[in-house]
This record gives sequence, structure tokens and C-alpha cells, in this order.
Amino acid sequence: MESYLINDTANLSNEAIIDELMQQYGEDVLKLVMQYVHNNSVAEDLTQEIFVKCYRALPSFQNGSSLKTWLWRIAINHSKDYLKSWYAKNVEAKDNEVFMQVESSISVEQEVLQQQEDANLVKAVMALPIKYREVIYLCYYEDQSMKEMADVLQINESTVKTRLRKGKQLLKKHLEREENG
Amino acid sequence: MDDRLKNLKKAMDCTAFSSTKFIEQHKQHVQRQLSVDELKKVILSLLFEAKSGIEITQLLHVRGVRDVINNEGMIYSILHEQENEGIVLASWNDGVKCYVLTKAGKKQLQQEGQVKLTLKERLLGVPMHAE
Repeated sequence: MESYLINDTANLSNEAIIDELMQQYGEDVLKLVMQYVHNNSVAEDLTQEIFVKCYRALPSFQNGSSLKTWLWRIAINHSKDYLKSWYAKNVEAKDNEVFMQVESSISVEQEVLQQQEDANLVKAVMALPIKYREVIYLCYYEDQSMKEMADVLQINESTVKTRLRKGKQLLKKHLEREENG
Repeated sequence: MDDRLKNLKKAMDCTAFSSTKFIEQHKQHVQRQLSVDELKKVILSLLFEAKSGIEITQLLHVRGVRDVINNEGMIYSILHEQENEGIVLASWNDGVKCYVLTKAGKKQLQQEGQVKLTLKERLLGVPMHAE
């Protein structure tokens, strides 16, 4: 994760900083949020709110730390707040688009073995409890280091390691059950 | 397990994230939000004293705020929203609806650090400097 320091952006207006962030990280943030909420349109709305939130919080951004880390924290907290909200629990029609998309991507194309395996892996990851899913995602999808993960999730490095290990155990168990009948 | 997880990015991009794209439209939507946000701050900073919608509009025109030209309705939608949130208090004065910041509104504005009132301003209840 290359760190994007505020120094580089010192001469830019706040609007320009947000534009730059959207340009560089828009899609990454959207996917990160999707990993939490499993629904495209909800993820799109939340992502837009996240950038607006960033804009509002920019004046209080601490000089010297990485803008990317800061953006990730806002995105993660915002997604989790949404999942905890009354709205998410009660109103949202829970079509789990992640799983639907995984299914449809298999049926559209040739059902080769590798693809089936990929799909099983994605489904298993997405079905993990959040605290394991997020570390697996940050580690293997975004390729973040232990320290970066601890930073954006605001937990200890040792906790990250434990969750990663436990997450992988759960995955393995799940996949074995699935694939060996 | 590690070997399989190395493939996770590729696997997710062509399955779960196949239609997860951050497009220009999303970006524009955020930019619009930001300009509304800016306008809201400017409007609120004008409301330390009660003003009517027309007065606010004129002040914004004089300041050359581009977002409101030919889009004056936006001012009222912002005012209504702020009224509902308890930031602004509206009252009828000789048939004209006037808006003024509530106590909570002033507090919020000060906390945002956008409008810092000096002691003198607080005593007089009038902002001495623009914005």
C-alpha cells in the first residue's frame, strides 16, 4: 500500500483532494465496501457517502499520516455502521448479490473445474463472519501487510494474525465439507 | 489453503465483483454533494441574523456563488432540510418567512471550525467578518 501523504496534496483544494482520491481509490473503496455489504447498489451509495464524509472530515485530518489509511478507516467504519443500523437489519431486501453474481458467472461461461473452484473459494470467503472475512480480504485481495491491516482495522497486529489463522481454518473446513461432499 | 487464497483477487474480480465498478456517474454525484455542502455552509453563515429567502438569494448572487444561479430552488431545499434538523428556525414575519440559526445550529457551525466567533461577536450576536 503506497502511502499517499498529505504533503503531496498541500497545494490542492479540498475538492481537488477528494477528486484525486476518487480517481485513485474509487474502485478499491467500492469493492472493500461490497465485501462488507454484499449488495452493489448499497455499496455504491455507501461509497459516495464515504467520500462526502471524507470531504467533511478533511479539515481534521492529521498531517503526516497516510491519506489512504485514513480513507480506509472511514470506509470500514462507515460500512460497519451501516450493517449495524436499524435500516440494514429491517428494511433492506436482502438479496445477496455477491452469491448471485458468483452463481451467474459460472453458468454464463464454460463450467470448467478451475472456475468452480474459484467460485467455491469466493463463496466460502464471503460467508465468513466479518472479523475473519475482512482480514482475509485485506491480506489476500489487497495484499496489505500485517501492520497496514492493524492500522486500518485499528486492532493489534497479533489480533490480525490470530484472526487470519482462524479465518483460514474456517475456510479450509468449509471448503472440504463442500468439495468432498 | 494459502495457495488457493493467492488466487483470491482473480477469483473475486471475475465473480463477486464482476459488476462492481466505480464509474464517472458516481464521481459526479459526489461532486454535486460537495457543492451542496459548500453552499449549505455559506447559507448557514449568513443566518446569524434572521433573513428571508429572498435576502439570502440576493446575498448569494452578490457573492457570485455560481451554484445558485438559475437554481434558486436549491436554497429553499437546503433551508427546509436544515429546519427539519433543528439547525435553522423559521418564522413568519409580516407574511415573509424568515430563517435564523438555532442555538444548536450556531454550536454546530462553530464546531466545524468554519465560522469562528470572537468574544465581541458573541456578545453582539452579529458576525463581524464574512463567512
